[in-house]
This record gives sequence, structure tokens and C-alpha cells, in this order.
Amino acid sequence: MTDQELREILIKVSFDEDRKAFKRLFFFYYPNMLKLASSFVKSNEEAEEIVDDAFIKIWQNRSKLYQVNNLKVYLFVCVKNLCFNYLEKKKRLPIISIDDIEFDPAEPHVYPEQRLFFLDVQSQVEDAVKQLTPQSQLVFRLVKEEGLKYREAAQVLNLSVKTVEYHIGNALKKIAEKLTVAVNKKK
Amino acid sequence: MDSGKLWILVGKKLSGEATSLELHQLEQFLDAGFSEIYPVEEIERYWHQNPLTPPKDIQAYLDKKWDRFERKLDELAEVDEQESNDTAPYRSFRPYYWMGAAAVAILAVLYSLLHVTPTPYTAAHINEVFAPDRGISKIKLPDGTRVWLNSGSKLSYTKEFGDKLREVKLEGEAYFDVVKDPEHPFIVKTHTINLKVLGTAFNVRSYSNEELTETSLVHGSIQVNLVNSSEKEIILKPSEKLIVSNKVAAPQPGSKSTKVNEAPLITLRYTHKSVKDTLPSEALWLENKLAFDSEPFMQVAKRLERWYNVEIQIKKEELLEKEFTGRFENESLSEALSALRLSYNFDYRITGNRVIIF
Repeated sequence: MTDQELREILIKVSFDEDRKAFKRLFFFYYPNMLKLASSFVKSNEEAEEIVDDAFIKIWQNRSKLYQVNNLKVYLFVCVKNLCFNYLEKKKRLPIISIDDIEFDPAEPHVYPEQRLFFLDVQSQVEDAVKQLTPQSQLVFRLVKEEGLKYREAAQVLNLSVKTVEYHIGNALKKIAEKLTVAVNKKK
Repeated sequence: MDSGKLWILVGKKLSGEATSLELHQLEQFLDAGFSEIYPVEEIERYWHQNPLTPPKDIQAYLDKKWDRFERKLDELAEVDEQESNDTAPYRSFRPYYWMGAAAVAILAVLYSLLHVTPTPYTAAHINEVFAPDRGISKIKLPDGTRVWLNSGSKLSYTKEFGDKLREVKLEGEAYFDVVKDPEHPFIVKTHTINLKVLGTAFNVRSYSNEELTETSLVHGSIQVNLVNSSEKEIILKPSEKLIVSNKVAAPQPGSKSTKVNEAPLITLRYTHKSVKDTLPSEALWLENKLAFDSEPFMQVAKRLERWYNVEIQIKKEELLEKEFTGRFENESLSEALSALRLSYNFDYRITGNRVIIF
């Protein structure tokens, strides 16, 4: 979807309350939002509920939607906030900090096709990513898989750009260590 | 040697965040032998591989999720309808409302029944009757007088109604067919004028968001007093109509300047009645027709807003004073606007329930 198309969709949703346009947003962003929600809450059903709630909130605020400049960041922040609210309600988190969030290693939305290429490197890297701190994992996913800018990832997670820089560097360093160990073992 | 700096630079390069200076720095690091120690190339390749290949059944999966989500939206829309029923359009321009049309229609009927039946409340025993935003309420007062209350209007009267006087308060527009009873004068109070009648039929339009108050007499006679200068008394004869400027009748405190060029305080005109109509155009709303004769666009817009339940924004100032004549019954809003722009050209854009005229 180009920026221009996205802009037109937002205007249609905002001014014409166009559900078809909204459906396109839903189809375009649902998978990624679900992935983000799944990294916060454990069960897939809960994650789906949260993403539905996020879309409902966005529909309810549709009249202001045309003012949103960066929809992806807007959606991610919305999902993140709903996840935190949800976790707080469930009393799993007395104090909110993403360092305390447990990640489910059985990440439900890794598509099997992904594993076909670079199987060796791929699995090494995935192991390394899973061993990162939750915060580093999240930053890494937002930047690498969602293609967010550092500034955007920082905005979603309430971090500074410097911190995002650090987490990416740290993640790459850990991945590199894992790969080096693997290569040395082979030798 | 600390590799932290190296990986931060690699990260910036891969995510497209690096400045040219940083790219240069990275080159220097790699040339200095880092590329042999660390698997930088592998990581670059890993980063650039297609991250997500969606599964083939993703469309079916999303279809299912959307269906479930859309049901939630529909439920929500119904709740919204119930909560804001008094602003719910009777004829909606939004197609999805039709899905819940049956439910909404029933609610709307219930709502108008509820509100047409005078509901006594407060210690002062005031009865208040409201007309919904897109409908007319028909009321029979205790003395048998019939009142048609136009959309968005309110009529109130106390329990003492009929004891000595028959006194009602009106906000908005109503048509009165007053039962004759010389012993008990019938009085209508609005924010600008008071009317005293014996037995007659007349129309009063006195919306607080409009600039003029209009009284049109169909038959009989009425006596009109201005709220702000009660010594002024005007007797209205059949087919006459009285227009009072709301601005002048309710002056803003502090505004001393008398605007000479403003519309005169009070104007007496004749009601407009075309041969085929049974009522003058001022009272045609009773028959579910929207009519205006030589009315400034400002007023026309207000009436269109109520009629079609839309919000009209006028960006063409010269249009406000232009006078329009028209009669609409089953026309859609865009048909009505297209007809009006024949007499004085303007453009319009309708988005949802908002209209911009420019």
C-alpha cells in the first residue's frame, strides 16, 4: 500500500465512514498487530481480542483518523497500550515494565516458509533472538520485522532513540556470538 | 576490543538509520580487521532476506477474522443507536445503518411514543414535549388544542394550564390549532415574543439558533408582544406573518451600537400560499414538505439541516443574504441542493452527515 493510497483510505474512513476502506486497513495491518500483541500476552485468543479492541477503538475515533500521520506507529502504540492494560488487569504485572513480560517462545505466527531458507543460520539466529532480554527482542522485531524507524520504535515502546540503537546493536552482537560459536564448532 | 560500537553501526546501516559519516566509520572498522573476526556478512544477509512470507491461506484466515470483527462493529453500532436515539437519523445516508434498520425503526417509534406522551416531572409539575430530530410530534393539550411540534423543538406547560390562562412555552417551531375559549386566553411564550390568542390557527418559528422569529397566521387573530418591549403590541390578521429579529429582540449586553443597516426590528409580511397547497408555505412542514419563499440562505441552510439531519457549513459568504424559494418533498439532499444552486450558483460536497457549501 502506498502512502497516497493509505491517505485516501484514511480520508474515506474519516469523512465517509467507509467500512470497505476500513476493511482494507484491517486486512493490511491485522497480521502485524496480532504478532505484536502475541509478544505481550500469552494466548492467541487474548491477542486476537486485543487486536479487535484496537480496531474498534480506531473505528470509534474514525472522525479524527485523517489527522494521523504514521498509522503503523499509531496502531502499534494502540495495541501496546491495550496489552499493558490487559496485563495490569490480570494482575500479572504489579508494575508495568516490558522487562517483566514473559515471552512465549512458541511464537504462533512464524510462518513455516520462513524456515526454508538459510535454515542453519536462521535457526541459530532465532535461538540467539530468543535468548535476548524481552525488551531487546521487542525492539529487534519492531525494527527488523516491522521495518520501523528507530524513532518510531522508540515512540511505540516509550524509549529513547539511543536506547533503541543500543538494543539493536546488542541483538546483533549476541547473534554474531552465537554464529561464531556455531562456525567454530563445525571447524 | 569492545565490539559494541561496531554492532550499533551495523544495526544503523541495516535499518537505514546510518548517516554517511557513520557508514564511513563502519567501513573503517571493517577494513581494520573486524570483518574477519565477526560474521558481519552473514548477519547482513540474514537481515535482508525476505522476513515474512505470508502463508497461502492468509486471505481466508483474515476473512474469518474480519467477519468476527464486523459482528462486533454491528453490535456496537446498535448500542450507539440506542444511546443517541434522539439524534438518530430517520432516513440514513449511511448504508450500514440499514442492517439494523428494523431494530432502529422500532426504537424510534418507541422513542417518539415516550416523548409525545407528556411526562410530568419536577416539583413544579412542568410537562415537556420534545419532537425528535427528524420527526414531528402531534400533541393534544388538555383543552383540546392541537399542536404540531416540528423537529428538534420543545413545548412545555405547567399543571396550571387551563386554570386561568392556557400558557405554553415554545422553543423551536410549532403549528397551533387553538380551541376557542374566550374565558381562558391562549398564550405562547418564546424567547423573543409572547402571543395571545383567543381561537385561531397559526405557526410560530422561534429556534434559538436562528436569527429571526416568525409568526404566521392562518385564520383568526393574534396579539403579539415582544419580550423586550412589552408595550409594543401588534395584532396579526389572517395570512399575515410577523418576523422579529432575534438579535434585536435579545440584545447582547454591552453591545451599544445600533446597527442601522440590520434587518428591521419587526417586519410584517404576507404568508405565501400557492394555489395547490392547502396550507401556507410557512406551515407546509406539517404535510412533511420543506418549503421556503424568498428566504435568505442562512435560514434555508438551518432548515435543510433540520430536515435532512445534517450539519451545513457555508464557506461562501455572499450566499448568506441571497434569497431562495423552493419546495421539497421526497427529494434527496443532493437533489435539493442541485435545485437551489440553479437560482444562485454554489458548489457543495456531502460527506457523511456534513455538508460544505463553497
